[in-house]
Amino acid sequence: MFSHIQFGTVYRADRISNGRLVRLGDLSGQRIEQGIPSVHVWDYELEPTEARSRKKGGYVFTAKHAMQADPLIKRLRRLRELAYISAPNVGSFLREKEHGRLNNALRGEQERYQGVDVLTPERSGQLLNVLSTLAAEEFTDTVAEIREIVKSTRVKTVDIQG
Amino acid sequence: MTVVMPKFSPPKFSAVYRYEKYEDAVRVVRQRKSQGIPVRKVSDAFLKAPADAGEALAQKNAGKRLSSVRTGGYIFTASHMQPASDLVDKIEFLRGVTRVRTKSGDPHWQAERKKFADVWRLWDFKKANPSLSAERENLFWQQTADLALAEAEAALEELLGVIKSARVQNV
Repeated sequence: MFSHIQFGTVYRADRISNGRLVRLGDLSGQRIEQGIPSVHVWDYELEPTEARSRKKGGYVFTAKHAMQADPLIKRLRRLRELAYISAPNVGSFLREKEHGRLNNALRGEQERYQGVDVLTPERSGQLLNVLSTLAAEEFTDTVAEIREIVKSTRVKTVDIQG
Repeated sequence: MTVVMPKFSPPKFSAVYRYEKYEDAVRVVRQRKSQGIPVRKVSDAFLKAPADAGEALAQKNAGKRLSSVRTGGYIFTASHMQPASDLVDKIEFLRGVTRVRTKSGDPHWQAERKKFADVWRLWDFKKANPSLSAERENLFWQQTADLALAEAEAALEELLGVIKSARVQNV
């Protein structure tokens, strides 16, 4: 139980000393059960190319902060995926997966609309790269907005007993 | 004794026609259609560089379509009809895409972008969240229009290649 968690606060949770991961999802889920809007974001999600496995810690936004952060976090996750395509440090699997998914969507839409492949594969690739580069820039701005919410409030560090 | 079989030569007829007067084009198209031969008519105005699509839009907005300027053109029939028709469809579509660069003050701005946002599958994540700022979205459309223009120019070259490679008969 996290009895010290109060209403309308931003909480910081880090990996605890004995090495167990803080369960951010559980923490925010508990707030939601109590009828308090809550949303969490992992530190790795705030870095454009950080691997999912490196869940060091993160933030839990509740009440009014959750209302502000929720659309930003949703946007952040989508932009991160789009940015994979043009990110040099992302593993080829993720990059190709996202590229393939968008490319298929693009081709499917073109075929549905016109019955022919409108853009050559090369130009389709260029278009996706443009979108990805813009998404990467937007990602950086969105992270800054999320960090701004954190800065604007007093952040409480969650002290979880393992 | 060797029997030499005569080579079968199909009856030759022109598959691409050049017309100077619109009335002639209408007559040929009607004739061919009545014979069950598929036709596709393309005006000289259409064969202008895709960059002129902006001019066409301006004229359309002013209540005057560029395609209504009845200059001359070509009629594709028989085996030339399908490849030409596919290219014409493609060019028409791509010229539409180039219009997404229309400025935000223009009444066509929202309609054009929304139409092609569906095509490019951008709208699905835009509906959930406005993912790109207005400025970046604008930049994206500019780039999309540039690519569409390049593709349209390539398709137009291909279409002109079809005409060059055919035996064109005046009507």
